[in-house]
Amino acid sequence: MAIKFLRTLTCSTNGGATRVSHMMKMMYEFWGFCINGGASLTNPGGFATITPTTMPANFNGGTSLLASGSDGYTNATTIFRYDGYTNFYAQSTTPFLQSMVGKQLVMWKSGSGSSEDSIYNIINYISPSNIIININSGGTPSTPDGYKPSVTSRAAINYRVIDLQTAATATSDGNYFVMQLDPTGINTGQANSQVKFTIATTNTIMNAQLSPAGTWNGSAFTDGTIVFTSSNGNAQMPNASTGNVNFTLTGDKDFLIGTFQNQTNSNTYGAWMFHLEIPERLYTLAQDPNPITLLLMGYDQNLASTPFPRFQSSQSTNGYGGGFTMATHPTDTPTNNVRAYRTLVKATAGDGNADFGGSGGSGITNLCGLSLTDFRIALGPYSNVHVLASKAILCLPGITGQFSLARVKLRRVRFTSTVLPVFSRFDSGGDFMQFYNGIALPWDKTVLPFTLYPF
Amino acid sequence: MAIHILRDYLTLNYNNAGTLRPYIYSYLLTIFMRRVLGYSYIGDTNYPINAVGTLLIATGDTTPTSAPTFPPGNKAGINLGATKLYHVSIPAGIRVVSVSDINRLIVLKSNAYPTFNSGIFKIMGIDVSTNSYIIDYRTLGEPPPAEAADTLIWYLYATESSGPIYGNPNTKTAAEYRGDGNSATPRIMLQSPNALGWQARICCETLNDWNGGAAFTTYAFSPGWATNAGNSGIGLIAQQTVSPGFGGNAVGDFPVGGQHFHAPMFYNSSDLAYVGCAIGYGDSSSVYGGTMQYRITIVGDDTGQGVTMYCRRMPNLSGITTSPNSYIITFGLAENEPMPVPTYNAARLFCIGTGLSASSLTSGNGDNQGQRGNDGSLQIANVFNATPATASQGMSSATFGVPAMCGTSFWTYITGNVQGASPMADSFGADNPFVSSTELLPIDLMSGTLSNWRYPLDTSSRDVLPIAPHAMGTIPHLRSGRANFGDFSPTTDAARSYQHLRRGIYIPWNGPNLIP
Repeated sequence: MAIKFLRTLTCSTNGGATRVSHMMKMMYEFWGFCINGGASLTNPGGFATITPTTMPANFNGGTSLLASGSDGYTNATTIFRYDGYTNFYAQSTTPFLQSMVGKQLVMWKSGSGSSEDSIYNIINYISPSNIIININSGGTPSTPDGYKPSVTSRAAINYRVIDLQTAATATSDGNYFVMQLDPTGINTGQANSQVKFTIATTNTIMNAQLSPAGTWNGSAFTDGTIVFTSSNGNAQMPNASTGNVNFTLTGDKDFLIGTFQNQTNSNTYGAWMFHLEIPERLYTLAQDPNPITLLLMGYDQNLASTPFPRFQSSQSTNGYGGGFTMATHPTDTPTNNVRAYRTLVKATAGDGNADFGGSGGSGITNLCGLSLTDFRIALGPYSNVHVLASKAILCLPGITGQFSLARVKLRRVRFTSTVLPVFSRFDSGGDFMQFYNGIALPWDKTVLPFTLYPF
Repeated sequence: MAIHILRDYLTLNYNNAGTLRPYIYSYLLTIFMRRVLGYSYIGDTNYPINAVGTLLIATGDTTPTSAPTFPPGNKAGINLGATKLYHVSIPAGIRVVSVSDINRLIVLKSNAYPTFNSGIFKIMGIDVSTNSYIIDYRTLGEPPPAEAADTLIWYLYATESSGPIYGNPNTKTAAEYRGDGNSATPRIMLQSPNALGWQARICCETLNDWNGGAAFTTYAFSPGWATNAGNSGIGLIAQQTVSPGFGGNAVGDFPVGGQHFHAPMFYNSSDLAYVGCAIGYGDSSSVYGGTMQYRITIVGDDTGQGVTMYCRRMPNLSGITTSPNSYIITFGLAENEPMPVPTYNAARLFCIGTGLSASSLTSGNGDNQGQRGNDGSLQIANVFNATPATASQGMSSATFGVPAMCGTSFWTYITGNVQGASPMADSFGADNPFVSSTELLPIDLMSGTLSNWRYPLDTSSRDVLPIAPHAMGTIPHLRSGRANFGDFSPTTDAARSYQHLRRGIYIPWNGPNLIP
């Protein structure tokens, strides 16, 4: 298992409105091929075994699949170019056309641990067997180039050339796919938990349904939770927006984190995101066999006047503060219920913020994450943790009969401080990078020549 | 590792408690550490618990000043059966029981039942026919597991009122720390049986240091304290302190600038900037005319990892009397330390308790009579916090060798809340449906995240403790959980694995039925 990255891939919708299906297409390609892809160029991995999707043919392939092959190769280069100029070749076929410029190349090698398995914009056409891609959305961090994205020499690369807009506009409400996660090495005895994502409400909402035991039978789960959607707002997608869209996805077989940004309704109004992972089980196998959690953070038109950052932890019922949703204990009602758990982090003293005075040079005690604003605590030169970062556990308070103090530990997020500059990288049992508001997510050594969130 | 428990020792009722009662805590703590937990003796001043004499009256130990030696026939037994369930028999060849022993303390160490039969028990009577003491076993009708004669390590100590209290200061200036050197104030240095060999100095601090002195009279009190102008001072540290460290000497002191974190001793200073920077417990209490009895429970292990003492005011159940305060103190070597551990070993030690006894203030704001005590809370706040009764202070060392703040580090809502409003305090707290019991978590330690303990009394800009955050590991033995579990109640598993004290703090138990 190895973490793969889709770093701020910006695509055009050709003037069309952006919808949930745009993100789902990227999830389909990145999860199914870059992370879980096998030898097949048309059947993705990482989905339920039996009839995992009702997405139309032109979403999965069909007219949105412009070319594919298994003879791709790249040559190593350490010559950094801001524009990401990198050759991609077909060894023995001639699949490429001039019209593919502006489309996306999906590449992967089955079982590969390379972060070059990703999705790239095609920026130029050289010949039927040679195109130019922008390697900045994936790539391998090149040490000689200061960890800028680059390619290594690889051959027999699987690839698909896709048309995002064609795929995204082919869908209808009710279309879904069922993803399947791999808990290997995380929780002993856990099933391959599944999650079903469904397009709803004129393609503006992505509904979700968890199946901790992974019981999809081709038409339904036998342990599926109630259907839920974003813990924030009525809609996940900025309605009727047009223009460029921007995707960032990070994942491995046990997790997938994604953010979506629309050029029209971008930072001003926020965007939407999700965080899906198999967390570390803190109870026994018998007590809590198959933990899986999903955070859906939606754009909310009703909050347009109150900017809502993509990464926030200030709310107790949504976002990283209280939006991680899990199937609850069987004694909860209704049957197969889900609830949003609250995120717990370590306090730097006691169990909360305490008034130690802001004046007089007195220390300020705060919690890791959004409220940690004292640079002396956040960044300790003499500390055994130079960048103070807290892991997080999920807690369910406030519900009669369902109190759960520490059910699972999140594996793919850390909470730091607001004084650590955005996009700072640090080690915390693996490489992490500070995003916004003290929230840090998995990263590698890559240093991008531009921001992750351009809009 | 075996955990031994001194269970619920009920103090006597002293009318002159302002002098005596608070010092019983230290008397029991030092004896329990020395005789049950196996801490060795390094040195003392006027704290003669080590050799047979005024305090140690008798024992089967033929080498009481070093490692214990109990030749065959020298040990004790407990539970003689039938109507003598609470009898502790001792060898008559060593001591014949006497009525003069009543109210004295019998110290027992049981390797077979360390959470039942170890402890310090008050002698309620004697049985000449079996040469036995009848002890106050402190349980709700559950007799001790029988241990035959010549099984238990035992020591007979003088009554609790015989224990050391504070003494005269040293000959230093008022600007210096007054409890070391040639001070007559009682203190003792004990060394942990842990391989690290860390030491603990337990000191009955001088009145100058804990009770306010001339050095403080020039300080202007902040608004909350303005009514106290007639007082000589506020005191600097706790009435009795526990100071872990290394390099203790024969008179029970660490050197100035040594490897420890008793800040006034480390810096040889009585500057108010160091208020709260030596951790302990105790008060001057004449509350209730000095008639308040306390119930003392101590938990520790025989590998020298850590010790926790809880001094509970007798009616200390929720909703009943709230004054005077209870105390909790926990100290030792952190468990589960992150690797690599600091090379400066004192940075691996901690002490969390009460930083200021503040006895001499007499006002309506609750600051008198030890009301700065933590009342059993391991939340963290300044010694002058607005809710003084519910928070602790703590100390450790920075990894580079100077005293630093130390505190608990609980899991809490990232959305932010004040101290005491974490999930531990959730009113919906109940047994967890997944585990069908009350869920308990280890308690982390963090040092170096506060620069002083004094705000807002002294709002000058002097930060006397380094901000140098260090994740230390966890507190030995203690656990945190929901606070609405019954106060002073055992967990519901068959073994009664833990006892909830108050405020979501649980100690290992595995002992007999509790007296509520």
